[in-house]
Amino acid sequence: MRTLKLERPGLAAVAALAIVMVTYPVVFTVLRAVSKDDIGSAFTAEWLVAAVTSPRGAEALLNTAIYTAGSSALAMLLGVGLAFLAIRTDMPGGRFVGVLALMPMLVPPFILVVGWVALADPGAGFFNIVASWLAGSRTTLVDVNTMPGIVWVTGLFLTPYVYLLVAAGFRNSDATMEEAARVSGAGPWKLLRTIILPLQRPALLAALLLVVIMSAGDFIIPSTIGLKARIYMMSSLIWQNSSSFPARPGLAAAQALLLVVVGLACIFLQRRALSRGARFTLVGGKGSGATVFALGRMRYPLAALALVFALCSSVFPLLAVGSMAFMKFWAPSAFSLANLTLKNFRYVLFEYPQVWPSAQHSLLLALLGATASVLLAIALAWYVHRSRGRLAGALEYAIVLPLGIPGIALGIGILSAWILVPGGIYGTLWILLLAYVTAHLPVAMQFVASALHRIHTELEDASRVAGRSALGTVLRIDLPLMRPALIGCWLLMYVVILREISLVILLYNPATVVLSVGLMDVWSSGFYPELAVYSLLLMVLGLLPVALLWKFARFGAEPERS
Amino acid sequence: MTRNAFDFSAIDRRTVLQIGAALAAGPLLGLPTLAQAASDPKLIEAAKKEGAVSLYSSASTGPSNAIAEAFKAKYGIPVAVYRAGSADVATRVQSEEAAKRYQADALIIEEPALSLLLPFLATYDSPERAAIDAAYKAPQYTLIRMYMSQIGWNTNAVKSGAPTDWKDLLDPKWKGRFGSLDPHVTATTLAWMVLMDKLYGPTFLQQFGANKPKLYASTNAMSQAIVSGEIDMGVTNSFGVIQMADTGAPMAGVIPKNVVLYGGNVAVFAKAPHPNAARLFCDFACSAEGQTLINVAGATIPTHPQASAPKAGSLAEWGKTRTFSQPDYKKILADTPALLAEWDKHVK
Amino acid sequence: MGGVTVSGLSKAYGKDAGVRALDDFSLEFPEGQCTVLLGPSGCGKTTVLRSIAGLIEPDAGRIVIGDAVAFDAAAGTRLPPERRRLGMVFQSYALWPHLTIAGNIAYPLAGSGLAKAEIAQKTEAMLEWVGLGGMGGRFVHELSGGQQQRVSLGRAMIGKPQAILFDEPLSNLDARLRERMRLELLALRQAAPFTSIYVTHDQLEAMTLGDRVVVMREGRIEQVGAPEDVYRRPRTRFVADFVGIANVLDGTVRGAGGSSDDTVEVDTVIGAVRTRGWLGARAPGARCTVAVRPTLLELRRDEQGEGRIVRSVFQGTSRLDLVDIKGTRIAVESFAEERQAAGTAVSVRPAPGAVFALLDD
Repeated sequence: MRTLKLERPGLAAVAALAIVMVTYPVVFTVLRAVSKDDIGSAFTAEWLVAAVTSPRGAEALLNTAIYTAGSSALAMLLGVGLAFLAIRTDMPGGRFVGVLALMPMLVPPFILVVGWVALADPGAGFFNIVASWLAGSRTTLVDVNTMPGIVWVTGLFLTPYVYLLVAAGFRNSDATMEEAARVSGAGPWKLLRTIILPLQRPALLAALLLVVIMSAGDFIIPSTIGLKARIYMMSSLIWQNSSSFPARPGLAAAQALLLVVVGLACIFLQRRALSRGARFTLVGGKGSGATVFALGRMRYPLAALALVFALCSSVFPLLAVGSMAFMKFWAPSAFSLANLTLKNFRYVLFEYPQVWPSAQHSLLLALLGATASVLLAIALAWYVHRSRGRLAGALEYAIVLPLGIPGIALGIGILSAWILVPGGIYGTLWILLLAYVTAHLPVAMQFVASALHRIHTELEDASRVAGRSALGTVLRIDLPLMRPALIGCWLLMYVVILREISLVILLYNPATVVLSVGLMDVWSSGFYPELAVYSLLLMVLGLLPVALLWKFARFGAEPERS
Repeated sequence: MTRNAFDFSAIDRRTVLQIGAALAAGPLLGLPTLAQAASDPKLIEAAKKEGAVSLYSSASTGPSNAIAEAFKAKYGIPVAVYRAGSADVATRVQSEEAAKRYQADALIIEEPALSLLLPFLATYDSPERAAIDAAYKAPQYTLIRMYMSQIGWNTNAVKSGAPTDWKDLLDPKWKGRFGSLDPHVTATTLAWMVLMDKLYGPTFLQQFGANKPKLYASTNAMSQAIVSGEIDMGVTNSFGVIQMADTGAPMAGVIPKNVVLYGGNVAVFAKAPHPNAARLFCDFACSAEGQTLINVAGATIPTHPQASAPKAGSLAEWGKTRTFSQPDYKKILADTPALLAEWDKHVK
Repeated sequence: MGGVTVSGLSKAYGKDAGVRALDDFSLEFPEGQCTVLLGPSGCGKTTVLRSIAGLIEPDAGRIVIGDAVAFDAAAGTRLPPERRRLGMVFQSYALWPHLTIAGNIAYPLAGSGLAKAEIAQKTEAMLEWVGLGGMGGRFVHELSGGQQQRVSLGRAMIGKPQAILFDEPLSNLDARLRERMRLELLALRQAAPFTSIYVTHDQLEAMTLGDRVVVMREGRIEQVGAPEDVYRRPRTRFVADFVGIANVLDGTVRGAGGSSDDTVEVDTVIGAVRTRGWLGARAPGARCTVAVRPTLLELRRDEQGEGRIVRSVFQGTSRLDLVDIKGTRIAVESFAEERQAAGTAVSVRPAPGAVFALLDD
């Protein structure tokens, strides 16, 4: 790394602003949690006490703990298992399984929710209808309205994230480590237990912490199926305390603070584990030649299991949602040709007045948000990479904050801050844009930073010697070289922003409704066929740019091709 | 958002215009003239100059959008509808008033949320409400759509032995298989609770809780649950049953002898950014034309004697066979914590 | 510990088995001896080693380690690596970063049923033996390259393996360290002779460490012999080139030497020379190839000489002269300190017994 000869004041200002942007929500959440009324009024501990001791609060804490533990464990089991099977065994269709494992990322969580309700609702769920028919009397084989039910759905949702992180590790492992173990007498199980898995510790830990943060702060599943099943959790309580009658924003802030503490603890632990694990950095790992485990007779059963997982996490829910969209009403008796209709599509797409404004807002915000995130990430990543100043160090540390703050808690922080500013951006689309960028900038930065890292400094030096300025070098050398990674980053931002709900549920107002908020509204009406069409719309809008730009993008897990 | 009955698939524009045209053509067809000229033309002009109305409504999407579209068709003034549950609407208004960001012009809401918002409402005696009975009017608001508490059930699951009165909810044969609205979410359930207490005493709630009802956040959610077979029957509202049955879903219901009468009100905000358009809207909502639209779309009962919503019936007719109980919302509001505590004690 | 016998090993890669990594390779690796497989990359030496280790499965052949058949393609026997009781030292050391040094060394003993105390004792003994006594609690990243290599060796030896396989272990070290480690390895082997199979492309390592050197080329054995043999009497141009013999000359057989040894007189550009080597039954007048090391040629200024200095290079300890004789370039290395001017007339004569014949023509 070179030191910047002249601290570029413009970039430094941007960096400072970015630091402020990601830290003030936490500050304001703390302030609101200890203020009796609005910020500026007397200090009080009543909210913090109530968050932990009120009956609903304590129940929510316990439920959140169980929910987080359960879904993280499930996601880790499935994710690591699938990654191992796909990459390190001779399972038939191994690469295909990899694709299947990642497919759920394309499906918005709402579809997963509606789909699993359609499959496992105790009354009209498809699996239960089939079971009832087979058994001859009403049977509930699986019930999604229970804690195991929501743990299952969330576990499925989180598995692709585990898979991504762990698969990269498996692919890049150093073959000689394993060869040395085998020559030293380790059979397949001992090899797995004492060498392969321990060496994957950084990746495993990173994955675990990620899913813990994601499940502790998850909003959609707790506030849809969770509330329906009356399983109260921190995120849904925060929402209720903030926006339902009687509103208790102080309590909401206190509960948000609890989630923030958990998230930040996870981030801190992860950083420590990764820095310790620097000694685990494998030099020049060549994936080929790494031990491939023979599965023997288990090949086909395991392959079938992998296929079942993939079906459960994306195909079945999609099919269920798709079929629901054509029903007049949703009931066990609804599975008949007489109940088919196109009216839901006509209603949602052409007659429900809030659909197209919300779609427009969503699209606008997603396009703007993705672009702003990527641009800001480029500026900040370049600043951090090329400058050794203390500001750059502070930025690198601070920018990780939003990763540990669940969406709903971040929403509380941003709300508490901006509601104090009369004539400010509260109630406009801009506050939503600000929230999106704040929440997703860290991920964008990680992407861009790693892409920037791969550009050898000498390439930039050659450009400078040849006469170009620093900015010119960035434009003509760095950006074109990073283009596939940038496109990949932009697509990721777009998809994530489009389906974001927890951030905006507290910040929107009637004039700024977005698709995901509209979906929550439809959910609470209990009207599933319409909900089905609406969520399909969200998915299509999310997939369009991905389908168009997929070929030009690179997402960083694949090997360099230079 | 509540989806209304399917087979008329939301009052679409054409139908709205047709109804409007029919009413306008009333005099030509020999129908009694509606007080069309009741709105002050100066008001109409001022409203058109303002050019927009922002409506906060807790009625379902169907009726909210129906009346908004019709208003726009009639006066050319677009209506931006914010639709949410009454608690959410109330909270939204309260935060906006606190932050001094006045965005709402007109309001359609039920009690008890209405009482919370009284301080923000303007006093307006719309000429259009002259014909409405005094029992349904107050200086700051007018009741325009009424509905009753009702028991609904799934006709496929309940072939015989359907409930006829509130007492039947305590029958152990329904244990765990029936539903109720959640008073933490919809305060109207508190009014029903109060009536039950008055009719049957405190043991009702105890036995009700012991029978393990499932709780739902909205009428439509519970209706969907009844139809989907998740529960066999539930304490719902009259419009819920009508709308579901209309789609062909296996739903039927009974309105017991003693019922709570709920109502949706229309009002105008004191600090509305478009005061004239707001008042014009209020006029329209109170009028027979407006009430017909909103009540037909929502399967509710109008208060204007000339409005007609055949499916739901009329207050006069129902009043002959049922005893209405109009809740005292002031008292309910004051007693909310105690009532909720009582509920939580018995109902898990 | 027993020896290793490899017979008929073949391995091919690529479409239609286009790349032959091993072509019917057979060799015995005697017990207690160090056999070095020497050759350029792609010659198959690593393939042989990894086949013996069980990390690669050959297409055909048989491998016997000690008295057990580890691999037999025809009979379908395939013993997995963990059951072959071998030790292996890798080029990149392959030490596990999540285990301590002691943990690394003790790893092969883990399945042996020994008591923990005994394992610890043996581990400490091995640490002492490789010169790292008392450092068992450290981690890999705290050690230097040379130390890591010693840990690697300790791990390979602790299980009393039937043979130790070395896969270019010194390639990652810098030149001075390599020299030191070479001598250390030699000392260790002399202290405890174990059967070892050593793969390298460095002829200096091969000469120093091997009891026997096997020069390989394109999957086949080019020459086998003691280091001195291979060095002084390379069979072919390839081997000669590989062991660093620069002067390869064409010649014509004049006649048998007439003495009891296998010398033959050959006409070359540096005159008639007596050559040793492989010519045996060549008829006079037959063409052949001979080679001679630059250090065994004598250079003299000679007005009548047919050689002309092309370039004279000072190399520190020696002087290298490039001489052109009748169109052929010959390198002469000597300890003279003064350089010759280009174009000087010289004559070149070989020392007695310095020229040997090669099998190629």
